[in-house]
Amino acid sequence: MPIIVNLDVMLAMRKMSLTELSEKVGITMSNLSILKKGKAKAIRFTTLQAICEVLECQPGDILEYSAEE
Amino acid sequence: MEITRRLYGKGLITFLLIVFRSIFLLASIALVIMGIYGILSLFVEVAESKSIFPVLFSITKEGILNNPGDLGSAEFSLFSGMGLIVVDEIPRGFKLLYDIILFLSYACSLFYLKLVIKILEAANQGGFLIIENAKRLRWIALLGIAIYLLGFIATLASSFYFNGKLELMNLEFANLNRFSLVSSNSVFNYLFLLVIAEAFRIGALLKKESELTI
Repeated sequence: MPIIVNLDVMLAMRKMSLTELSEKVGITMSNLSILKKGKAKAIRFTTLQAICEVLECQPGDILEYSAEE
Repeated sequence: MEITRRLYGKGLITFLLIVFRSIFLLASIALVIMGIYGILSLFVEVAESKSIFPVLFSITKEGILNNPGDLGSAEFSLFSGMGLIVVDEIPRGFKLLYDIILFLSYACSLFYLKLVIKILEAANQGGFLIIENAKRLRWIALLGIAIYLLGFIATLASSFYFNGKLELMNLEFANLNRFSLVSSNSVFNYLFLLVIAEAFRIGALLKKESELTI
């Protein structure tokens, strides 16, 4: 998948745990884990919006395109 | 509502599982016995072994059809029939060939049953719409076609072998007749099942994709 999810990087920068993000965003831990590992097939705009709001970042900070992979 | 769900949901699947597992067990035992008997009959003279073979025939003598009312009677002929003959002695070569075809047909049926059981087991565990089941459905369709073809080949082999060797008053034996194709519509059912299997596969892929949408 050429789309890389940098959720772990953003979590480290904000010093936030996955559990905390899960509680604040309202997404289950298993779904967030799927997203973090890059196994997700798609992400809803509403989910992206909620994550960006909590982490105070832009969608581009979480998602990255890499043609090599 | 609860009763309906219980009847058509898990209860029905459990019932079908028991039925198919029982059939599978009995068919497995029959296949093993058939295999052992077939191998033994090659090396040991099995006493009083009678074999059953299918033959195709037509009746040369015309019959009378008694119509109701004023229509009177009419003649009819039986031009396409299929029956089973019981034979005491038969050359081993032909019997072996026929038994191999039958054995393959039974083995396919057994595999067919196994796949149905696996689909039911997956459904019992709550995973009905999965790619594995789509593959199983495809295999079931292909096995169904194979079983039909093997049965057809067995009938053809038998009727070709016995044609010219059997003598019975008013009966004319044939290599091929219309009756031998009577169950060919099952092939179309299995082809339709192939289409359903493909739709099932696409559905399973879409489901997986929707599950991985966060």
